[in-house]
Amino acid sequence: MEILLVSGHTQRTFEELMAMVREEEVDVLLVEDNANDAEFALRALRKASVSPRVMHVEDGARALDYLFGEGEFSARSPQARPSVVLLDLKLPKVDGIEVLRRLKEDARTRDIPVVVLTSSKEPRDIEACYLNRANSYVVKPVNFEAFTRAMGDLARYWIEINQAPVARPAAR
Amino acid sequence: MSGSDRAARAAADPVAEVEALARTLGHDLRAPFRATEGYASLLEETDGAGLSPEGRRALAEIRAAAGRGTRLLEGLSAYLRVRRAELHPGPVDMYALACEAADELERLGRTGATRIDVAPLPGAWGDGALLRRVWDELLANAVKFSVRAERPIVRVGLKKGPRGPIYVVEDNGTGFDMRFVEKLFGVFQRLHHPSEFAGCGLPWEFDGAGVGLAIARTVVERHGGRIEAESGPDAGARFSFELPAAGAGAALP
Repeated sequence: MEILLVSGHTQRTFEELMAMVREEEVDVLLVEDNANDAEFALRALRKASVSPRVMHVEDGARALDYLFGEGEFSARSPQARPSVVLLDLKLPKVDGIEVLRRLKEDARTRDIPVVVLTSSKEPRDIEACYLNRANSYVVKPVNFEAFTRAMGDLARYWIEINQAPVARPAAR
Repeated sequence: MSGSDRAARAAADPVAEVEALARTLGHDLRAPFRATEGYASLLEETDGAGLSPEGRRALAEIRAAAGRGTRLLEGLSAYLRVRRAELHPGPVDMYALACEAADELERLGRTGATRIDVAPLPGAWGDGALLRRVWDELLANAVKFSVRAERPIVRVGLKKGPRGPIYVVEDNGTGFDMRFVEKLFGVFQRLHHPSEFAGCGLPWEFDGAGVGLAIARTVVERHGGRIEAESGPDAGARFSFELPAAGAGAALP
């Protein structure tokens, strides 16, 4: 089993990591398949004044498993919901729109804010996301500094300014 | 058009296929450019102080080149979007659109010393959002090329043509050589070297993608209209476009 990368933590035993995954409160779930973009996003989030705890997954299937507490994340507590999901659209296995659709259709996860974070400015993508109840649609700034600033702004807004939904026990 | 008709049409339409490929490529190339710029920034941040001046300059060039690459892709994407956008025609207040476009340029700090005068204009029939792009591009272009004039001014006005009103954007800037007028509206074509605009003190770069006029022409032609440009070197430039009246048989493809 892969050791999961959880931002801000260094050497841990496997058991400690699994305990963290089970109970860990995570502020941001970053769903991004591109390794460079993920690195930039994680760096930018780490620099943000709100110091968010970030979980990163590289594909749509793992994102769903994480949020539903299934598959490799079946030990996860459903109470540990992120304050926001940053979701890229072009993802391997299960693509972004499908992840969005599944999250918003399921009563357990539909109230978790989802911010689509993508390079695409295509009107059809924007429309599809809002139709599937995305909470926000952000086009990744092309300039590196603008990108870093935007990630900081996003973190600040969704963690500090926005009121996250109250955690509920699992209900179908 | 049914789904299967649409699919058949797409298969038989090589232009649409090439555009779809260009769109995908444009999207996929963004990530490597972002990565290039990002890691160069990172390197500057982590090790910049220890680099030689040559090294720091090389880093700056890497970032600048990545930025140019990105802008080219952005330009290409914007052009492709306008080529294939759905048109939603209706009555359009052209005077309001031109004023909004001018105000936005000013607000973004992109006009410098240039004054933009908009005379009253008649309305038109067409897609307001796309026609706004025509104003954006023609005004930005006029401002850019008038920057070296003593008193740079861009005038938006009206001419009466045989088929109806002709909208005119005129500047008193550098102008262009009429021998190259055909290239003017081409994608990524540029008739002036970026160094001609160096040091003019405007806060935005002149190294634009070179698609603005191509976008303006595409929108006008998709409305069934025409656009023309006239100039002489150092004699300013005048861009004129006309649009068919409502229901005047515009194909709106």
